Amino acid sequence: MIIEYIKSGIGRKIMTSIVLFSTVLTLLITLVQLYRDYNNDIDRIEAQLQQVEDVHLQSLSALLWTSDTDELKTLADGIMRLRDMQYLEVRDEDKQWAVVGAMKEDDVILREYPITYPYKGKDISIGTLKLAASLDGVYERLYDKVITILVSNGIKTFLVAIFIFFIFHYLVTRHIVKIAAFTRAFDINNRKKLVLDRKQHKADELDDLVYAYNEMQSRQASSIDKLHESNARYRSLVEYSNAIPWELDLATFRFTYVGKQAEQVLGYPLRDWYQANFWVNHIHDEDSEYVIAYCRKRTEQGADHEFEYRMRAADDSIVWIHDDVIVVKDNGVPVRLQGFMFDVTEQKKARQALQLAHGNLEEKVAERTQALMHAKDEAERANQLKTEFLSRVSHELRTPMNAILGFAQLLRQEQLESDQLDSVDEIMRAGKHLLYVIDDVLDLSIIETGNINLSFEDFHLRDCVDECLALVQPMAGERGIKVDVDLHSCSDMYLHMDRERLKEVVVNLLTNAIKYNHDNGHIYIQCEQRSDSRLRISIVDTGPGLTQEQQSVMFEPFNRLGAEYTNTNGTGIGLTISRRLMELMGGAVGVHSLPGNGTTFWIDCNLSPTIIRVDSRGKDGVDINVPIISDACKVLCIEDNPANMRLIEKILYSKPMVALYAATTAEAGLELARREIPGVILMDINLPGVDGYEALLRLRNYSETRHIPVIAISAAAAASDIERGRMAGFQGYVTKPINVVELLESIERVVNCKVNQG
Amino acid sequence: MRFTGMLYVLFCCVASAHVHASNVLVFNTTGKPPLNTLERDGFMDQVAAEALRRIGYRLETVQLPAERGLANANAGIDDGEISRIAGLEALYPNLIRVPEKIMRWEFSAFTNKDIPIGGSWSGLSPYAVSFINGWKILERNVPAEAVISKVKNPQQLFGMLQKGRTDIIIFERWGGLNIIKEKKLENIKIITPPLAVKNMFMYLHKKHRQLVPALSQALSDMKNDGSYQRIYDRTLLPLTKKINPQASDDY
Repeated sequence: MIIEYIKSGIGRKIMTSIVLFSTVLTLLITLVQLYRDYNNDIDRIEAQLQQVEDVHLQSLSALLWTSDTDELKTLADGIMRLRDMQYLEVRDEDKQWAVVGAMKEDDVILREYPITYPYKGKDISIGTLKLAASLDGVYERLYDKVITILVSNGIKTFLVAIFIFFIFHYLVTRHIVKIAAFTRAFDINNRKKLVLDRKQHKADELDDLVYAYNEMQSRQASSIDKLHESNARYRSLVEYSNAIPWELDLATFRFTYVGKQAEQVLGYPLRDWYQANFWVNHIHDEDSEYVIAYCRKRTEQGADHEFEYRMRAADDSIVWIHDDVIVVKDNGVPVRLQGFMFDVTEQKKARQALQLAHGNLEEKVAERTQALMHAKDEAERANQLKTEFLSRVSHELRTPMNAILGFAQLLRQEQLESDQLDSVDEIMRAGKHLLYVIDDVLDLSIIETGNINLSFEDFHLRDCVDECLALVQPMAGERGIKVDVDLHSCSDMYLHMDRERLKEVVVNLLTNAIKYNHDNGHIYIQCEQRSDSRLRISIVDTGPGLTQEQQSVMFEPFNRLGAEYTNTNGTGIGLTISRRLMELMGGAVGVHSLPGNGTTFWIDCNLSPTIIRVDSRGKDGVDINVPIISDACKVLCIEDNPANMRLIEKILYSKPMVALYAATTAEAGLELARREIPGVILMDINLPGVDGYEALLRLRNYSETRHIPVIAISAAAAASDIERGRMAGFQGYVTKPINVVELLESIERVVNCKVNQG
Repeated sequence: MRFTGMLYVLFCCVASAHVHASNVLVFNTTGKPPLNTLERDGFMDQVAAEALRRIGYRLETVQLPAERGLANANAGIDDGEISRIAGLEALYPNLIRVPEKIMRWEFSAFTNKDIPIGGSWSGLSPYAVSFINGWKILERNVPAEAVISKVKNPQQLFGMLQKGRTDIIIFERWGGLNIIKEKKLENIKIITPPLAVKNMFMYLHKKHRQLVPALSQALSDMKNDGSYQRIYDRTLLPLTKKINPQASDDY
């Protein structure tokens, strides 16, 4: 038994490993030691040669100087008695004075020292000393050492290996053999506990192994029980499910296993399924070619696949099969197929019915879509007509309003009686209200039809709010309402919106806060940054507040929440416009209120992604003093409406330095312009015959009038109209009803005349 | 009468031969050629032999180191010394100096350069000077400022001069001339006058005390009768011819 272990056991491997490892280690250590010894010997020889140079070279020099041959030879003999010295030669240019030993070509360290003698203050070269030290002694010592180390270590290693082998066998190997024999004889039905034959000892790794083995045996038994149980459950599930499990050998193309359900699905006895080519022979003729080709291709590719096809049942009925196939490979080569067949006949029928219904539905949707498209076109056309209608109504209303408000403004500047002034003020108030109504309706119609043009820009929040405040401050002052602004936390922030449209919203909300407040009430303007890109401006009033019901309808157009029955002016579409504008600008507007506790309107604005300082202070403070154009500046006005013409005359009448030329048609105006060469031309757009645009074109064609600035005056007040005018080349665009200040400022901007205060 | 006369001559010869054969004196010598040689044909060998012969003795010489020779002579192992400086009798009381000098030693400077030293020790100061180690008179008198090299033998001395390793060497006049001749050295000259001159005397062990006057007289006679000059002319004079015609021939 022992001999067997020595031949093939772990002990032999350990013993061999120890011998090999020890041998390699010994060799390595020996090599290192020999290398060090060699280096030490070489160093010693070098030091010895150096010592000869240091100690004896001077003596040699003196002896050679006096040609003392005897002493020279004596000293040379002495040097040669040093260890490992091989050869010494002292010579001058003429002859060898001393030669001791025999020179070798190899394995020597050769040194040659010049011999000098101090004579009359100079070192004179008188010869050379050649010294050779032999390495034979070094090699001999190394060889002796190698032999000693190898032999002693070899014996030691062998004895240690033998000892370890026996110890290892006694402590480990014999127990492993027993465990192997016990394992080989293991019977699941006749379980025994593994016990090793060992003397009393402390627990060690072998005990742990025995414990683990016994534990594994218990777990294995438990697992086998569970496996049996699981197998039974699996078999039950498979046999009672609708899916037919199967396995097919690719070499014989026969089923090697088919679930019992197959008999029920297709009606053939189970034994028929195991016949050669059963599956191929029972595929529906129309599907056969495709199915076999597909299955073969995927199998050759080694790819799992699934497909559907029809099979003929025993009663000649057609059964739809959905087959899930797994390709089983051996060394990469497909050897068999496994899978599940599902009877999907009912699903197929249901799907076909669904597809049929789906086809009908699509037809109906297409018809409905066409009808809707038609209705949409109709709606858009109606909307366009409405817009055009509103625009025309606005124009027709603004034209007479121009005369009414214009003359009322002129009258206001005359010396009138008190009651006359009241009448004029009443005319102006009524006219302005009517104008607001027209503007609001027009704005709403533009917004609703989507024709509004927004101009986004970065601007300073505080500047914008200040401008709005300046507009409403007089109105608030009339009712003793105090407006407190707290924009401290947002004072340096910039918004990115349409500045004018935002001002329109803020002014609207402030106006409401004033109109629906108590006398001597308060308005607070606050701000709050909601996110990196969002800012909320809140306008809080101390008015009577709103009920929930009122809040839910207050953004509907023309809903004034009963204010129409009070003295409070309004059109009822301001909030509607505000909401539409904020939505178009990407913002939002909302309200919080409780009856008796005032109302808070808020708007959410977009912050500028980049802070751009915009100095808008230059726009602050509109100078309400009317500037006077002087210095014989000629102004040509082309206007067909006599009332409007008179209004222009009245406006410029009080300015003596201005010479006004008037024409009621474009043709007459052009003639006047070529003759008088005015400083500026005020051009009505809607002229009979040649309209304002055509007249401007002609002016630009004449060399003498090409440079004259032309200001358009029109009741067409939409943004698109103003933009069209600017694109055509008008230097200014004044809308009707004419604002006197605006008109004079427009003239002043384009005419190079001296301006005096009137 | 004629027969009687012939017998007398024969007797004298035989008697003389007998005397010579039985009265041999062994003298130590430390000299080198041309003064002393192993063949006993050096200048002093010949002078001493002739002087001894005149008093009825035959000379034999032994080459010994200087100290060993004196010790042997003082102990009576040998019979005397051929040439030593005066005053040794104070150190070696068994030795008796022969009053007549056997010759004069000259300590001369040799050089292969054109060096004027004026015959004085101080003139050596600027030069590299070499001499044989142990020569007391030189060790005492050569100035310390000179670059001094000491060697073991005259061959080394002349070798250094030849190789330019010294400017001047100092050696006994006749020994130096002999080496120049034997080695056929070129361009070496002797500087005159010599740096020092010492008279050399023969010494006899006191057991031969009775021979001292006769030996002194014999030497004096040799100088007077020209035999001493003939030996000089034969052994030493040829050495001076090539080297330095102006050299002194005084002995």
